[in-house]
Amino acid sequence: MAEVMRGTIRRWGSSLAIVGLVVALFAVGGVVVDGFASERSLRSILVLAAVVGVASAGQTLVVIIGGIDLSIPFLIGFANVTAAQLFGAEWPWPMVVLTTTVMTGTIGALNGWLSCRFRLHPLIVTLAVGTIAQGAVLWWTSGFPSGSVPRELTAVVSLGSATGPLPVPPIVPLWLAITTCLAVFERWTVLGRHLFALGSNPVAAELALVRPQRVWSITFGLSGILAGTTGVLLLGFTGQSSGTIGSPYLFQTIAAVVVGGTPLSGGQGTVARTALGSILLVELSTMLVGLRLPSPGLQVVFGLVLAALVAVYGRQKHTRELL
Amino acid sequence: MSRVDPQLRLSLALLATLAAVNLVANPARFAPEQLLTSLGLAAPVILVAMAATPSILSGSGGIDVSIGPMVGLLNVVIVRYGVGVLDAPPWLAVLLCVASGTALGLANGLLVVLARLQPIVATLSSYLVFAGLSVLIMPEPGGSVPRWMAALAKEFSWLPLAGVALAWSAFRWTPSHRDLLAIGGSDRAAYTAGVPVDVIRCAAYAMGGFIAGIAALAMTALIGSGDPNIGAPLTLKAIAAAALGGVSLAGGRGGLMNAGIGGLIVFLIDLTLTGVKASVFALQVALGVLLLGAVMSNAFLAQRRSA
Amino acid sequence: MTALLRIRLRDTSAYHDGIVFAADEGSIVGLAGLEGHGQREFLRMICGLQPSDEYVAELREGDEWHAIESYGAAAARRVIYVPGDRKTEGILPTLSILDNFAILSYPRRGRARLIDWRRAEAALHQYVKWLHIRLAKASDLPTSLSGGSQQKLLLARALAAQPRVLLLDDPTRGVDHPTKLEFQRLITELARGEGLLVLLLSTELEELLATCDHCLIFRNGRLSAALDRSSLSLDLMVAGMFGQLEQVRDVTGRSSA
Repeated sequence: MAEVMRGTIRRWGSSLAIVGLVVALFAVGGVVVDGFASERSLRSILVLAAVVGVASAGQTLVVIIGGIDLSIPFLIGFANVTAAQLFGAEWPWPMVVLTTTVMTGTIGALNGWLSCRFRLHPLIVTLAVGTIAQGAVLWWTSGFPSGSVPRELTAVVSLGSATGPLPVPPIVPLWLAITTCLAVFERWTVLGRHLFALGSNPVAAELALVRPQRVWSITFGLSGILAGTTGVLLLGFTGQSSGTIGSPYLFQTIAAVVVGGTPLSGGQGTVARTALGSILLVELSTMLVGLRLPSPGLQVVFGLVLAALVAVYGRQKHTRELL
Repeated sequence: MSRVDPQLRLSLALLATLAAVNLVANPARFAPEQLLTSLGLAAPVILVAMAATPSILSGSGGIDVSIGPMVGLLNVVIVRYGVGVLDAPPWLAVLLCVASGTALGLANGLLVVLARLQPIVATLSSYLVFAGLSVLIMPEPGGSVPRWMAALAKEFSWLPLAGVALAWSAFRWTPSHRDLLAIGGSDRAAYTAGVPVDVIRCAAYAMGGFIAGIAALAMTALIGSGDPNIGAPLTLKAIAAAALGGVSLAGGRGGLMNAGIGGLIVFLIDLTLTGVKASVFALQVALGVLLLGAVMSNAFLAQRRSA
Repeated sequence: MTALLRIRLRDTSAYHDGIVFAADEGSIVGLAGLEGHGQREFLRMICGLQPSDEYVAELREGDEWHAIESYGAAAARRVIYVPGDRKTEGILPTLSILDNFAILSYPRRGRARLIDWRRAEAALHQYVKWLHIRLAKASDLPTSLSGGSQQKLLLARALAAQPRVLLLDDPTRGVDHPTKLEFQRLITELARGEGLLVLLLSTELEELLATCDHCLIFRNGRLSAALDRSSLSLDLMVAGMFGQLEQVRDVTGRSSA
């Protein structure tokens, strides 16, 4: 018991570093940008981090098994448009959420299954399948998605709303709940351990009775569900749907994973750290926006930061053949 | 190649079918007078596919997803600075464009070889940087091109392709070409055979940038202006084209000819769908399906080869 | 004692029952042969990893014999394989020693069937003591262990799955001599003390001589001789490896000429 605890503390040690970074960056932001440390700003940061966080949680799981999911932005758009259409057709909101996430989850599972069964690189598979999904839904709506957004959904994300005694909109505790469930899944379920085994050494994992096709399908399926959830949540923000609403999340999810300290080579990492990475990312972008940096400039900065971070973190060799 | 690779056979069959369909549906486009213009339409896609190829050939997860935004960045730079600010004469514009492309490609190569980033991560980072810079340099599409450049898409549309073909043929005569395919096959084997793995790999990415420079010229000539958003969709097309044409995504097999065939296939699909007035979203779906099909057949044939 | 495992030829027309070899629980069966002569494939066939055109392995449960057709099915019947190349096939480098140990046998508790890490760690320590594994912390990475300790860890992983048949693929490769002797002691204890049927593929003939009750010799991809303890000698083994023993004799002395 003592040894497991010591190992856990060592893990937390570097997580502590990230938490420190989150706090430090917040302090810097408070000094450098007007209104950064206000209550409204803090709430805004949390809400944005929640959106990035939900999508990035799925990316984390996929990265742990040694893959990558580029379909997330497309599935976000898919879910956004589909949900709007279904709301417009007056479906009850639980049905809309269920239908949408089941669809994106199935597409995700397809990604995982194809990649594993045919030994294809998930980068290309998810890019291709995601493109198809987004194209299909835009084709269906002829590029003019219509529909509506119910009040309940807007209330979930709106900055003004609160969750019981907590002064944050429901999306934030929702994100924390999702992260917690996934963290338990990672650490305390056999399937969760199998994810890490597969990412660590696929050959040894299979000999240790891990079933690759099952794990890949489930993991990418989960990522799909989370991307779909993000798409539905985003509907509450703008009130108007768009098939391309997901595009910023391509790099944001990867950045959140990397910034949180999860190596892209697989076999390690945790959703909890990605959650911290999401907050860090949103802090950074809020700060840069406050400093009047135009949003393409943001993208440039992220690209450079990503390269720098992986150069530092990604020291370890990966033995698996990629393509 | 004395024996015809099954993947190549598949691609050539697809190419022949598409060419036939288009010839029947729209013969005017293939009339001798129109041929050069049609070539001008096809050249950018073909060239971007070729630009994506050297990095893929270099193996070890080699890929350049930044190739689309790289071309886009060069496009806005040519129009905004080369034409707008400098009003450069043809030789200077071409030189600057190609040199810039090579420099950008080299940057990718250094990230892969020196910083030891996985190619997907390195080029994803540069994708973000190039795409962002494009919008910063030219927020809205605009500008124009001088007469001589527009001619590159019409009377002289064969020139960019010929230039690349010539350069690549020259490269194929050198032992470095064989080295490139060797590292694509197996890093370790190449290393023990004395191949300077890192240098060749870095050079591969730089070569991709060189070709991207020429692709940018062809693209700029075609659209006649600068467009900051033109880059991103090109990556998907480029990789799909390379895979379709027979370049093995695992590295070590294929060449620019394959990429060229694949590029032509993608162009003809585009043409077919535009011809039937299909929605641009239908095209998107088609390209996604194509990419998926390309990698699946690529993988099947690779499996069969190793069996 | 009735046999626990038997190997039968798929094509039984030429023989009265096609049984080529049978082994009892509590015994040690060696597999020997020149490199690449089929002994590894045979071993992997028995655990369902690599189906063979020629042979099929069958396990007795109660009074019935069940053919082993897949890796998962074999494991379900507690036929556990310990891989040969620990680096590429055994060790999970980014997971802790504890995870590496428990991956086949995570103890669970509660209605949610969540992993009980405390019990897992206790189990690890029992094996650490029994097998003399030198480790510092359960949360360390397996790469901090010596080759011999890594091999013992893989053995512990297999044993934690409570096998009836244990397949060892060259376990003492790349391991120092004292550890090799430890393994020999362990294997004997596992068979005699715990009643496991141990199949041991080894390139060290002395090791096989010292431990085995029977030894299967392979030549050109096929089983070429089955020697039992009374007739086990270095000369005969080498002769078998070079194809100079004409017939396959099974344990009861029946020949299959």
